[in-house]
Amino acid sequence: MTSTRWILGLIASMWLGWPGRDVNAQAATTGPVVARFRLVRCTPNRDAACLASRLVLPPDGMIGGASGTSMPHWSAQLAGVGMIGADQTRISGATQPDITPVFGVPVLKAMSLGRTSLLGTISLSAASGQTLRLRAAWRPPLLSLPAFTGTADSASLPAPIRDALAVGGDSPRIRPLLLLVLSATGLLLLLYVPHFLWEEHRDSEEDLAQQVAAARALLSTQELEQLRGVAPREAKPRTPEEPTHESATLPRTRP
Amino acid sequence: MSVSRALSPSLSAAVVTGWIGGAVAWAIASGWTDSTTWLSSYDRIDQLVALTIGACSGAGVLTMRARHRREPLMPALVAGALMGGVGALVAASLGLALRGSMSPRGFVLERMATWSLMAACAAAALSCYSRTRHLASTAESFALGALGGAVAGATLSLPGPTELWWPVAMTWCGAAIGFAAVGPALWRAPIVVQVLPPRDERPSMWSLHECAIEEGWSRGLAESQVGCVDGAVYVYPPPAGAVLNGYPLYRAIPVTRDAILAVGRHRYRLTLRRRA
Repeated sequence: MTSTRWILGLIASMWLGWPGRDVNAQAATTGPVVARFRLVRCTPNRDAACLASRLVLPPDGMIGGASGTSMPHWSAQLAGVGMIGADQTRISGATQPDITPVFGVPVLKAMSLGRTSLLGTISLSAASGQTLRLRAAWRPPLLSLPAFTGTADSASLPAPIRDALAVGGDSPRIRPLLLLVLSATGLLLLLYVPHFLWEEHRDSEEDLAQQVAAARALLSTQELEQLRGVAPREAKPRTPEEPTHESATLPRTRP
Repeated sequence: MSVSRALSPSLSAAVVTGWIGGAVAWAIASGWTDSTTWLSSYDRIDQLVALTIGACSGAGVLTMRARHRREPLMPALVAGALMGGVGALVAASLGLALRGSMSPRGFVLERMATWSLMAACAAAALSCYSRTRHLASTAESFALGALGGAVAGATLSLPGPTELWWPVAMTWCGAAIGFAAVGPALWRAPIVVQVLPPRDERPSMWSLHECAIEEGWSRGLAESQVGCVDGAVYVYPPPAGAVLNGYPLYRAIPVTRDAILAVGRHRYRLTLRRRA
């Protein structure tokens, strides 16, 4: 799946912090807030979907009168994020285009984006000197890590961008390693928590002897009566007032 | 009356099972790295992750508890998955609907609140899977789950490798759900009965046989019974008698301290959890 790639000249600066200072206050005088970022996985030497980046049109027309011209500026690397293009959609009747910056990130670097929200400004500049500044704000998922919306072949990116993204070689796969570690940890917990945390019941020699003697006393009374063939002793019939009717009330039974 | 403060084996088993449920949830959710048509937004991803955490942890916790009580496993498995998953999903959806801050500080607080609400609702829902329901016990489960969820949310926003903090957060959340769902019912019950294994053997996580007896209920132990009436714990021996702490027992008596009850070839440890 290929398409014509247009790498626009973009200058972006992003700020990260935990907690970070509120860049919105500084960028209050700039244009509208862009809150939709596309994160695209950048992998080396992979045939993948390409980014379609079109020329960003300012509200009043074309930048420098050019259309579809590649103007390679660069993309800054901040926390491993490099802006490699922008999708622009002009909505009918809207005064400004709908801009969705596209960031290409190496696989592992993208995970760090899930830590906190991103604030900053995006400056769109052209060879003619025109500049369009946008406030940028983006939130990752609350319970998960951000997902990619596509994959781009990093070999097709300009060298400065590729170097800025530090994409090279095959990215190590960390998920299988974590799966192995978690599996081993779970197995150890299942096996050794009972061994180390659960109290083991041990009878002392005296307790054991006492229990055995009491159990034998129970058995001998019944077995001896049966073995001797002696009929149970007769006794006077019990009356309702006798203590056997004063036992505790049996509550509801759970099977 | 002596009261035991030792940690019940069932509680530690619930924590371990919840931890494993969180690990399974991470293994599933970590495969969702690309937004496809059915994962159209970050909100959908969050809802699905919440559903997975609640379902996996809930299924594991209730199944293990049913095993310890020697109750049917499949109903507990289904109930745990449904109650934990739905509870977590509803809470996470509510948290996502209330979000709005773009500042890093505000985002971290919203993340902690969402994780907290998710764990709290899942734990409270799981604690209701019982024949007896107490508002105080459910509220305690909610509070403990909220505390554990908040820690998990903060963990995910720690500086450093987020891809490593994420499984830590999910496993911690699962363990907190297990602890909160099972703990209050255990330490609020008057007595906990454990079937002791044969001598020189140690129970495993799967072979443990332990259950709590609530106020107004009794449970059969071989031919005998143990029950709670008006705050007092009674042992009802069989007609052939039983051995309680080394002494023969022929009639029902109240239990005032931890005891070992022997009925035939079976031995039980009676642990008082709270004062009458």
